[in-house]
Amino acid sequence: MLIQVAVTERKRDRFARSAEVALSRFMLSTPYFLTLVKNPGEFRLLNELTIDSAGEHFGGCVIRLFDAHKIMGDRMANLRQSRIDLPSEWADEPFRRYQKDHPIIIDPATEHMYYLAELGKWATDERIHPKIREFANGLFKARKRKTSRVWRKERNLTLWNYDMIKDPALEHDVISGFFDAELHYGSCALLAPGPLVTDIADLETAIEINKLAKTDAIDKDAEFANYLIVASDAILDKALRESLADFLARSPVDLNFLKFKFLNLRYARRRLLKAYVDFYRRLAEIREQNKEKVFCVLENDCQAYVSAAVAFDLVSTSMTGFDRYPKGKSVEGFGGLFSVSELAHIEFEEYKEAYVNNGERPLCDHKPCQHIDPRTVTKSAWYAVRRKDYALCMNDLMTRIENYVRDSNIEMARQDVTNSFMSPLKELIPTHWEATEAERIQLSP
Amino acid sequence: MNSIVMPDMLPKQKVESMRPREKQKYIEHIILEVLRRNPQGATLSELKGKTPFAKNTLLKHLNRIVATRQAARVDRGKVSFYYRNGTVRNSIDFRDNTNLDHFYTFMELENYDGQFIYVQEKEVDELRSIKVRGGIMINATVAPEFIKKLRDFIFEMEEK
Repeated sequence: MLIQVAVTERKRDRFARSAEVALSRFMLSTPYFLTLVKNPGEFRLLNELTIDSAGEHFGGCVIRLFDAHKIMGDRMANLRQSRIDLPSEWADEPFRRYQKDHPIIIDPATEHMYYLAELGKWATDERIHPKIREFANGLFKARKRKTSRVWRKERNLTLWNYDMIKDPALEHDVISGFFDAELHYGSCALLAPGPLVTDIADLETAIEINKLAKTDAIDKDAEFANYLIVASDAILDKALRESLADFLARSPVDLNFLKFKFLNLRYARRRLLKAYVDFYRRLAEIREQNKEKVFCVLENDCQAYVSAAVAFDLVSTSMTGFDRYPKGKSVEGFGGLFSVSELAHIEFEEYKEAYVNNGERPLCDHKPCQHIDPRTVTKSAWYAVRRKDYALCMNDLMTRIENYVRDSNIEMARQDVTNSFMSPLKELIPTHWEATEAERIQLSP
Repeated sequence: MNSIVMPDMLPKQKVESMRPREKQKYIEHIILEVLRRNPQGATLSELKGKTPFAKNTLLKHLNRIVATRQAARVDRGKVSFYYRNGTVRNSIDFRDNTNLDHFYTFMELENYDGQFIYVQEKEVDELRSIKVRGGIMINATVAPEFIKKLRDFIFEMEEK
């Protein structure tokens, strides 16, 4: 059939695996890195990169729904035109090539209605459901209220847990509206909008929306996926963790997208780290028992490498590798460059020194870095290089995991993390993996 | 008569509140799912008794499903039994390059009557929703002969 998720496991080493995942018309070699692009500039950089330095484990992108029009404009609609003027055809050619060869995932990103930073963007795209646009607009207008943050949270709670759940017509309409918009922008997975899960009540709502959304996604030209946005510390609640794992294990849907909002386990409390150790283990068990299940994690910040090694087939971060609370528009500057050995960013000044000490040669062999001298580089050139370099680093890391799995050496991933700046994250990678451990989870019909 | 096996369904209120396009697809999906789970077949009255859909709605969808060869109807006296048209063993898609919204799915189908080649004609609309436009089933034993005839017909047409 044209639309389906099909998984062919190539090799498994305990909890880790490398596989061929057929998603829509694309064949992805997992672990696979999806780049979150936030503006047309980043999209252009990714497009250039896939032409100049194509890799097996990266290329696809994630675009937040409220950014989609700014990034893609009407180019998706133009693809359906049989007659188009020549200049437009030339202008659209790189995009045509990109969307033909690489998957695009449109992320509803409804959690951004909780935060002020991106609220204004919801009103700009008419393809977004009017109810959601009006809602976001109302929140944006009231941004100067004294208790704006708490009020926003309460309003969101009312929207998802009361207005939507109690009015099935509205629920169907909003979900279908989101699907129409995602399909318009060429998404190859259908993700339903939902609340930011902070407690068990939110989780129940999100699960109910996903179950309903599955029926609205019948016979669409994209694969339906469960989609849950979870507040980073919500996982601390054991009951919530178990309900979430239970839902993912029992759901007939194979493709599952999770987003742990603003999670940074490098600086997390020990309790939170332990909660994620437990949750990752549960996901790995589910994936071991049901090989057709595909897990994808969005906006995964510094955990991306570990996530790909343990439980997730597809991982995604922004093009800089930072998925922190937005502090306004990103500007060209001298941000850090990602280091594969440190699994973290080296600050620009430090990189400059390392460049000189390395005989005025870059520290990596990535093509975009070869002709850049950090002592003379301009801000705009550096902006492009560090983004391209990050995507290539993630491709290297995904390839590394694949090689470890092939050689039945996945413990080397733990060693990599131990030797890096991300050493606290090593606990996420299990040291023992018994067959009996997988039996802990009950999958009774 | 044994009771038919039913898939999980949405409550009536939630089905009623679906948008018309999604509702049509949902009803069709449920009917096909019921037929898949009940290889012994199902009658219209059984479907009516077990689903929240009206008789005329079910009949309209059943007729369409039978017309596109996704299901088969066998009349036994006054009662009509509906069957899923076998189990799909293998399938591939063929895109029409002159019209990218148009494609065909070739399926290897197996049922009580033997093996068949089932070709579905599908269309993707402007909202990227897929609709089965038509279907044809060819007995696997006569498929090579069928292809030969079809090829002769095409060449004859081209010569004209």
